[in-house]
Amino acid sequence: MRMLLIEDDLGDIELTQNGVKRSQTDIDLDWVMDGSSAMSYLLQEGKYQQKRHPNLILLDLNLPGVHGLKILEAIKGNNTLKMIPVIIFTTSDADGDVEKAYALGANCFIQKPASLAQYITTMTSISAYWAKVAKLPKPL
Amino acid sequence: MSAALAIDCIIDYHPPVVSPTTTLLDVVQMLHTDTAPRWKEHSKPATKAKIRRYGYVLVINTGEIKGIVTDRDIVRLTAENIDFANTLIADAMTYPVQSLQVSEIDTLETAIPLIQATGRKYVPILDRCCLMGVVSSPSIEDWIQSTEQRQSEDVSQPTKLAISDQTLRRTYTALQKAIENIAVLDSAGCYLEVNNTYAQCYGYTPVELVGLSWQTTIFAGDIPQIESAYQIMLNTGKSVLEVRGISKQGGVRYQQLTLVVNQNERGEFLGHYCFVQDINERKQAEIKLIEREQRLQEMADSSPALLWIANDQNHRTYFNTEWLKFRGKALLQEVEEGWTIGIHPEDVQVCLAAFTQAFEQRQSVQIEYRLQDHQGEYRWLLDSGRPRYLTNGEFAGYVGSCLDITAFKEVADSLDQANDQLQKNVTHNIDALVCANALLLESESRFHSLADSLPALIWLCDVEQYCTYVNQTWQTFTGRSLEQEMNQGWLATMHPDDKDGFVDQLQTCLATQTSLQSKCRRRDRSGRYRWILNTGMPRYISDQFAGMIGCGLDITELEDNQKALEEAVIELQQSNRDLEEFAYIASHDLREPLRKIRTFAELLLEDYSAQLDDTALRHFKYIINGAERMDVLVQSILEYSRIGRQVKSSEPVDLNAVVQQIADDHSLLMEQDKGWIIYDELPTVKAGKVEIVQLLQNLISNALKFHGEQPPHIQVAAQRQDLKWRISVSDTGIGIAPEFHDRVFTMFARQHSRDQYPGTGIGLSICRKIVESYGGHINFTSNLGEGTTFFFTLPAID
Repeated sequence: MRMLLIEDDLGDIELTQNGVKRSQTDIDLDWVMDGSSAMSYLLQEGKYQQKRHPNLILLDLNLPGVHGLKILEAIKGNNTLKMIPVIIFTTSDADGDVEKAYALGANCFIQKPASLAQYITTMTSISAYWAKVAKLPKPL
Repeated sequence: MSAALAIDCIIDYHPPVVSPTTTLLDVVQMLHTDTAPRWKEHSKPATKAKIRRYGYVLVINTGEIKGIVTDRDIVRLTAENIDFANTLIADAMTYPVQSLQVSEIDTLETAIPLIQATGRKYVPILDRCCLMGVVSSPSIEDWIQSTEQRQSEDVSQPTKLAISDQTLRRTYTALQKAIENIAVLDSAGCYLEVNNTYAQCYGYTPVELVGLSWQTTIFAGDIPQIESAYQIMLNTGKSVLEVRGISKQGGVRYQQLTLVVNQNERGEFLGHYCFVQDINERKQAEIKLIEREQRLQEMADSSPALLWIANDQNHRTYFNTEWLKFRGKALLQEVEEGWTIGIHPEDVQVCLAAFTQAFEQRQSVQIEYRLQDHQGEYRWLLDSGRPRYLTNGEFAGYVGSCLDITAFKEVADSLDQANDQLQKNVTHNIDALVCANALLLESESRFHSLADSLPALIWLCDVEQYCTYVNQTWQTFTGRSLEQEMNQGWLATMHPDDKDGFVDQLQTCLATQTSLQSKCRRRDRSGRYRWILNTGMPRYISDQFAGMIGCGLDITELEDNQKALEEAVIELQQSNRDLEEFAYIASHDLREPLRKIRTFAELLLEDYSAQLDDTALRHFKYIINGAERMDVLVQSILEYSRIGRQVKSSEPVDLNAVVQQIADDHSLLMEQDKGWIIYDELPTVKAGKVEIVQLLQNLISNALKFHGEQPPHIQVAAQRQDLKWRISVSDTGIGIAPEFHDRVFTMFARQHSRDQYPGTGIGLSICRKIVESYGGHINFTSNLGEGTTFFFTLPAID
């Protein structure tokens, strides 16, 4: 399963990587650090021409420049890209953010884990759920 | 008796004279009443001649005789229908007047024939141009009579007799020439001697009459009258009567006959004298008068009214048949004063006085009086009399008519009675009104006293929105007088922005007769606008809607406070939002670094544990713990600050379900520790679900935590207290040390060390905050080593 992480904090990126690694799931994690890169990546533009579409997107909300919700909106506004489930993966658990995210078409909302153990559990859950429980559309 | 008498005995030295401009009517009146002025131009003594009533007046102007008017003339003039009142005597008099000079008549023997020769009844005697006096045939007659009387008395003197014979003869001669109709008849009643005029009077020559009986010249119908008169004459010596005489041609005329006995000195009846005076005109007039009277009476009789006629002496002479029928009396009983018998004693004086007064004034009169009718009942009569005049203007008396107004009187009486009753009623009503008014004034005054004593602004208005009253408090408040506030004045001090609204509202309330609630600003005496809360109620005066009575309260402080409150609330809400935001941001911003610290420390620990010694391992553990704890702390703080700020939901929360849920959540732990939770029938409370869960969670988890060596046994119960429920959570744990009791609910206060019992120490603070946010109270009882029971109250659902 290919996963695209859109996250600006290096620490969080490393944590996510560690989480994926230690969950022992076959998630192929790629990452970009801002919104425009994300769009380029998804649209396979520029240096991302060779990239394949991810099966899942992990999207942080607190991104520099363009806010995560805007990116979400852009993704879900694109006929092709909207097929890819977007998991909001952010520090906030504010009801407002949750609602707005779902309203814009987010597929799910996960608060970033506070401990390593939780990171591992979360990654395992995501993989288990999306790879095994849920059915993903055919890769684009 | 000497025949050489001067004419003193027959002359009137002071005849009646008038000026030519005297009216005929006045002359008639003078004749009637003997009030004509007398001639007094010379110094002759009073008249010796016996003057009977004057039957003439001389018309004199500047001492000259212009004309004469006699009784006969009056009669003639009456027949000619002359307007007496407006005709001057000058136009009606007879002229020229035959007169004699005094020089011609020095002796009586010469005078009498001369006078008689004039053929006039009244002959003025002049001295050249100057009027001396007047001789009249009546005065001559009288003198002759008195002379004869003296002669007949004088029996003892033959000389006298001789003289009397002579005198008689002369008298005869004189008589012969007299203009009066004189006849001498014998004892058988036959004519002995008649003078020319007598004979002419009857259309005979004197010779023809001599020897004829007196009956010849008397109208047959009147013969009986003469016969009785003759008898009277025989008895008394003289009689006068009025009869109709008949002439040779058969003409009938009314005459006045004077029969005088002719006796010689020895008293032997010789016969009689007869003096005839033609009174035909007078008599005709009289007859006409009588006829008229009769006609009047006939007319009166044919009328259904009660009529009466009075003569010129104010004596009632006639009553018509209706009157007589009404009175049940005969005419003779009623005439003169007879009719007054039966006037009600109370009315008599007034009634008669009225008639008398009117009569004196010759005025119409109307008087009401009661008169007895034929049944003896008193009836009210309205008697109207008016004077009546003959065509010659002579006052003839009164004529009157009466109306029986008894019925009217009765009606008038009842009207009077009704009027009296009405007056009484009106007076009574007026009294009642005055009384009611007094009560009203008193009531008003009481109202005013009451209204003025209240600290509220009392006002009254009518149905037209015009103010009719404001109490003293109002006047003091606005600094304006009652007069200024009345009618539309009370709107003047209202705030311009509020005035229209108030007026509209008042209009609606007046139209629908409903009460009014209005808040508006009014300017007080210092010029500041104050908020007044006005409550108006419809008021009625005897069930009639009369407007509104209202009460105004100065709620400026309240309004200001309200405003301040609203502003404070807004501020608070803003502040809360800010705080929320802050708390949220703060907690997240704080948590983020904590996450890093913790997670990477964990990563390090895991990845490099082989290369780390115990100390390093231990240090990492401290780092990780620290981060962990801080994270929890930050979350707790965030949660704590959220309580009371979030929109409070108040829904029915079934506590049984909540406790059960918590128990299920801790089932693993309880199994481990072999504990149990039991709960009684718990109520449903009105509160926010999340908070209640939080609350019970904290308490129960505490109880589970501090069980000590015993397995945790927790009991949850509820007790109703008025509108609240008192919930208790009790355990059999270690209890709370007395020295810590006052700090139990303090934030972060921990009784035990972290090693002994983990926890932030914020749990109970949160519990207290939650309970207090629902207006409840939380406390506990605890005994060391035995257990603790926490009590808290929550609002009941009902």
